[in-house]
Amino acid sequence: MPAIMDFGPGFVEKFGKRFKKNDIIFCEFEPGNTFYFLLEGKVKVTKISSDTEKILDVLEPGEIFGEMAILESAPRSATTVAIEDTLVLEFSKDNFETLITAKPELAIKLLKVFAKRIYDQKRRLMILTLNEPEAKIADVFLMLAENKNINLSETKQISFDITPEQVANWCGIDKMAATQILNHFAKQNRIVLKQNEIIVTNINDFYRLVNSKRKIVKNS
Amino acid sequence: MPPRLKNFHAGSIIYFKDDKADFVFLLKEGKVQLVYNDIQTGEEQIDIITTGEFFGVKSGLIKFPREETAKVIANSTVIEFSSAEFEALITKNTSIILKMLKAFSNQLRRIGKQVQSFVTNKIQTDPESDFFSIGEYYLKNKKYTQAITVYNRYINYYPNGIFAATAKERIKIAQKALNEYGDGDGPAVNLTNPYNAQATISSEDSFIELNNDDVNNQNESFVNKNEGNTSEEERLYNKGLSLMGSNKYGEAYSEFKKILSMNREDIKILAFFEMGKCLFSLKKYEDTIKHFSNFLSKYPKNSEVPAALYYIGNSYQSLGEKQKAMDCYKKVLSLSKPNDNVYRKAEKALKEIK
Repeated sequence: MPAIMDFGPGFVEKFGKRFKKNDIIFCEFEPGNTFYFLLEGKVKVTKISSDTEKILDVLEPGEIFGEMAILESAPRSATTVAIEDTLVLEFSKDNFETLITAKPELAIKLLKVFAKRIYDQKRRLMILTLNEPEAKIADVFLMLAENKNINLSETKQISFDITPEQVANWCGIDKMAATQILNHFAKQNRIVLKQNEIIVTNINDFYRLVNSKRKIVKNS
Repeated sequence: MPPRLKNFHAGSIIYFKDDKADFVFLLKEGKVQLVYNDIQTGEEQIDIITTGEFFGVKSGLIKFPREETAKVIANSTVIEFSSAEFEALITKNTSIILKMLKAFSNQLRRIGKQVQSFVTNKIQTDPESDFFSIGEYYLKNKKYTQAITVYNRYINYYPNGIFAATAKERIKIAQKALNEYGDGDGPAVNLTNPYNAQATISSEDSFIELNNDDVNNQNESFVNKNEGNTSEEERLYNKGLSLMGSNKYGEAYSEFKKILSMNREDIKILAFFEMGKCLFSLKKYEDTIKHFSNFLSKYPKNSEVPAALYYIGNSYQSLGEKQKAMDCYKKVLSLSKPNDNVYRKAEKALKEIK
C-alpha cells in the first residue's frame, strides 16, 4: 500500500474527525458501531487489567482500527487513545457501501485486515484444540515464533515479551494452572522466566512436543 | 504481465497446502477441489470450486501460506492473477469486494464462536460496570481529562444506569482536580464505593428462604478471631448477619452497606460479599450479577471468588440464561476442590441444568 491514500478534501470533510493528544477515541467496554482509518498522528491501543494499563499496539497512519464493529455489536475490546494530535476517518455500517464505491482501496485494506485476522484466529483455534495444557502452552510459543517469522530449523533460543498471564489468555486456561506449567518448564530448563519476558531454550523441543500431540488428535 | 490463462490436467495440483501464495485463481472451465483438514476434528474436508469462482483468494491477497491443497479433478482452465493484478481487478469491481467482505465476515464470526467455546475461563462480566470501572481507573491515576470523557460517555449510554449518579459526582471531582492541579497531578483521589450511591433496597421486598449453610460458620469464625475488641464495623457486620438469619435481607443489605464507607478493609470485603447474597435472596438477579462481577474484579484473589461465581451462575440460571450459568458453574469447579461446599453445589446445579 502507498503510505497514505489520497483522499479528496470533501471526503475528509465528510468523514474526518480530529482528536487531540491524550483524547480517548473509544473506550474498552463502550458500545460502538464505527470503525476508523488513521490519516494523521499516532494512536495507542490499551487494555486495563489488574489495575495497570497495558499498551497492546501503537498504530501509524494508514492503519484501520475498530473494524470488528462492522461485524458484531459487541462492546469494544480495547481502548484507543490519541498519543499525538490525530486525524481519523470515521465510518459506520450505514455509510460503508458509499465508502467502498468511493474508496475501493480502503475496502481492500479492510479485506486484508480480515484475512489476516482469520489466519490468526485459526491459529489460535489450533492451540485451543490441543488436549494437554502443556502442549497448548508450548504451541503458544510456536505461534509467537511464527508471527516473528523465525525459522525454527535455524533457531534454538528465542526470547518473547510476554507474561504468564498473557500465555494463559492465549490458550484459554486458568492463570494459576498456566503459571504452574510454566514453572515446571522452567525447572526442566526448557524456558527461563523473567519479568515480562520468557525465553524458550530450544523452540524445536516445543515443536516436537506439539506435533506429537497434534497427530494424536487427528488420528483419534 | 497481464493475467494469464493456464491449463491443468485432471489429477494435477495447482498449489499445495503451506505453499507461499503469490497468485489468486479464477476457474474458467473444468473442476477443482480444495482439500484441507478441519482444525477441530482433524477430518479431511473438500470444497468444490465451480466455474466462474475465485480460489486461493485469502492467502493470495496477503501472501500467506495456502490453507488448502487445490486439486484438479477434470481437465481445467484457470486464469492466474498476481496479487497486484487481483487488487487492480477488484478495485474496478466493487461488488466483488462486498461479496468477499461478507464471506470473510462470516468465516470470522464462525471461527470466533469456535474460539469462544474453548475459552470457558472467561468470566462473563457486565459491560456496563466494566465500562464505568475504566473511568475509575483513569480518575485514580489522575488522568482527569480521560476520566471525564469516560464518565460522560457512560452517562450518555446508560442515562439510567446504576452508576449514573456516581458518574456525575465523579465528573465534578475530576473537573475540580483538573482545574486545581492539571492532569497527572494532585493528591491521591479517594473514591467512595460506587455502590453507596445505589438506591436502598426496601425491606418489604419478597424474601426467599436462605439456602445457605455457611452464613453461621462465617459468623462464628469471625467472632472468634476478633474476641474482646469489637469495632463499629464488626457490630454492624454481625447485625447484618443476624438480620440475614431471620430472612430480613433488605435490612441486612442496608447494614452491610454502611460498613463500606468505614475503615476496616477486611470487614468491608466481607460486607460487600454478603450484600451480594442479600441481593440474591431478594431475587434481584441482575443486581446480583452486577454486584458479584464487581466483587470479582475488585478482589480477584479472594477466597470467596468461587462462591461469588456460583451466585452469578445461579442468577443467570434464574434469568433463564443456561449457557452463561453453565460457564460460571464450570469455572467454579475449576477454582475449587471437590471437598468444598461450593464445588458440590456447582456440581449439583450443573447436573440439574443438563
